[in-house]
Amino acid sequence: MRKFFLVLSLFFLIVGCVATSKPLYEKHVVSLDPRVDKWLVQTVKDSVDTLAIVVVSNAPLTDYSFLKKLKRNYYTGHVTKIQLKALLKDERIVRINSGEQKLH
Amino acid sequence: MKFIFFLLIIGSLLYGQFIDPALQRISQKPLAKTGITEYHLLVHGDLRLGDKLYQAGFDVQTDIGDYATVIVPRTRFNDLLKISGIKSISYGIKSKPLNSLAVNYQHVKIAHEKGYTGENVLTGIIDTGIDFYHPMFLKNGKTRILFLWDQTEDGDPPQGYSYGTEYDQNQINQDLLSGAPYSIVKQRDYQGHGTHVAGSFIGHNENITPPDTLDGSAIGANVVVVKTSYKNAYILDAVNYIFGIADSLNKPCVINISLGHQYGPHDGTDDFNSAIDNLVGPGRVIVRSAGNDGSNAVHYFDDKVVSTSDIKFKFTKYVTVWIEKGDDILSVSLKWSTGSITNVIKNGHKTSNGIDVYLLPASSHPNGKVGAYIFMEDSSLANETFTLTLTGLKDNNNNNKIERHAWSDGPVFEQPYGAFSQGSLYGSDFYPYTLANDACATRVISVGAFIIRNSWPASDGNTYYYPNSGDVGGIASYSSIGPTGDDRPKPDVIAAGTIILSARSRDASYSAAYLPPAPYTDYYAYSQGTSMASPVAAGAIALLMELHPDWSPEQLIDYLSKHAQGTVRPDGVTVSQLQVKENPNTWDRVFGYGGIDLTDAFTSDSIEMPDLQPQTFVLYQNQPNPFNPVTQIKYYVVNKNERVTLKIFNSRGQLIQTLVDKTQNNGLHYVYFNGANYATGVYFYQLKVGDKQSAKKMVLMK
Repeated sequence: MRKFFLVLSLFFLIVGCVATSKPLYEKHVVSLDPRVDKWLVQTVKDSVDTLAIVVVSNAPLTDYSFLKKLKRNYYTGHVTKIQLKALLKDERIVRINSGEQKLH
Repeated sequence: MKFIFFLLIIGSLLYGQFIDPALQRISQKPLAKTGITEYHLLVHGDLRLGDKLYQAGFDVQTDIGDYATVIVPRTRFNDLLKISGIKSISYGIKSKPLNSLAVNYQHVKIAHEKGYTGENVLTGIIDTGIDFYHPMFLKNGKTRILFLWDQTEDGDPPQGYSYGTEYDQNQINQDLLSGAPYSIVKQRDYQGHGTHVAGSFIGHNENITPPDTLDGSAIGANVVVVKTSYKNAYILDAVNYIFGIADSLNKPCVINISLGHQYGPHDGTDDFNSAIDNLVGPGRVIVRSAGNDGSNAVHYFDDKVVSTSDIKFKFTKYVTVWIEKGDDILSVSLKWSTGSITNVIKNGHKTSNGIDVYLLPASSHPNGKVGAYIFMEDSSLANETFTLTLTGLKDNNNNNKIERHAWSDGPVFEQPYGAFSQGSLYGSDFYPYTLANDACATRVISVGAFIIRNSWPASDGNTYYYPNSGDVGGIASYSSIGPTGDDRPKPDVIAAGTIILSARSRDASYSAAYLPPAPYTDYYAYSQGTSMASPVAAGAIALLMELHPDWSPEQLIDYLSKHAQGTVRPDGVTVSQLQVKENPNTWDRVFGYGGIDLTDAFTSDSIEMPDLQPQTFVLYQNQPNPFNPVTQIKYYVVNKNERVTLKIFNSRGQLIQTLVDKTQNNGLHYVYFNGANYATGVYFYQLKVGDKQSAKKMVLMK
């Protein structure tokens, strides 16, 4: 009987450890233009150097004074590394892009 | 002596040499009459022709295989004819330096004659700045620039923006009158690109005789100029800024952007172009240069169903690779002779020797495609050949293909896709899918370039030309070729882009070869590229938008696609030598729909209203027409109790009489117009029923 309860307890323990198909929490990941990612890695001065970015969100972003709304949920701004890191944690933000053009 | 000279010429003709008739004619005149002591000639003959000429003591300027340019003293012309292997000698009548050549091709004069000069349109330019002292941008001594935002110098930014310096019209005028240039407005155009673009777009010099010699198209328009630092975010800000000013003025707006790059999916889905598509709309239009990569190996494509595929390329700033939507890939690797980056999986990033490789999943991109990115910074690898290996490719779509497009910053692909020829006059292949990424946006007007001038007179007295670059009527060898990465039809149109004479910035430096002869030398310069074609088109588009202020980009493209014009092959040039646009209004990847033609818009009997729904009403042609002085206008209203207005406009678009303004029942209606008090000329009658309208032309002939 004791063995039975031991095996049963072991069974429930193992079942309890099996992952369910749905994660309890899914970490938000902003889709980052590789050029932004490269800048983030290479930039040394966290609060001085800035990068001109284009931000796409799934909800209005009114709480960032350094972002300017274009239309709908498109925003532009030039941000420091610290500001960019803050944006990366914001679940409303879908993608962040950068880049520049040249004369034709 | 003269007899011997002619004998030699006739002998040359007999032995198969071609001598330019212009040269024959000028050489017959006495020296004192022509004032010419030497000829600057283009000579065509056997290979190594330049060497032969040089050995014979001639002053060879340019030696290009079987062609050479040479300066020949009049006294030595006979010696030139004696050199064996010469097939032809061309002299070339001096070209007249006219920008109007490019602009007038679009028949903008028809619009000007009707009173449409761009006065009721706001134009915008995002470029390298502008020489605001240039006479092309002044009217009665005052500037036509409403606002000038220099994004590159921090100072007093526009309201709502945190960088750059904004100058308004008053400040610019104060600077112009101050006697101390740039004391108030410090912006200058050191590259000259923006000033040149502005000249073709809106330029009008009141002091040049004849008055239209060097005009742009939108000669009456005011302009907002943004000097940009080229960053995508700043360009979006510039577009938003200019459209905001247009909103406050309640005017339609056309912006020209002669910039671009090859980074991205080329399908208009990237965030920059999605934002652009959201910013444009009715009365808000952007015109962009197609790009200058038509004969550059900047694109790779394959669609074979394989599990592993290699792409080879030379050192370049970046390469992006796009896998067909729905298909998949496991990893990418990059190898070169001294190193490698292997097994970069999705969401992965590896770096080595200043090279970065990223593989981003479909979920990272709005187009649902997996994308690989390679960035190169270590110039010590500049001579390397790189092999990008795509591993674990899967045709998840089961459509028997896995499309792989790739684009690079420079012409680096060893096996570029789909090389084709535009004729033997060109020395290089052309490549499809070479449009700039931002010329692929769905709602921008994308402009390629064709050749309107293939030689040009310069300030140093010489006449220049680019060898192996086609002939008048052909596509410019540099003009980027469509379609877009998702096979949509771009470019939309072509405009003159080769050797365009336009405004010269006083702060930009040009070699003598790119400056026109006097009296134009100080204020004008030649330049070429789709950068130059785009503003030529934008000016004509501004006039269309003045006529149809509410047109959306789609309505504008609809007009351009149905009223285009072709280009003409020069006499004696065959199809195999030069492909031209012979079938306007049908799209092809080289010429788009063809050149812009304003004729129909400004002369057709019925001004087009693309939103017109015929079932709402029918407007008939007036009877009689032409008339003197009374004519009958007939229309049929379909629905009951519709608000109906019938107005008469003169050819300048001014309202002269309202014949009907009331609610009417359905049925046929007759109205009479008496022109006794009006002058002979063209008039328009416009019928509005509810929110729909139509107009027709009538002629009063006294």
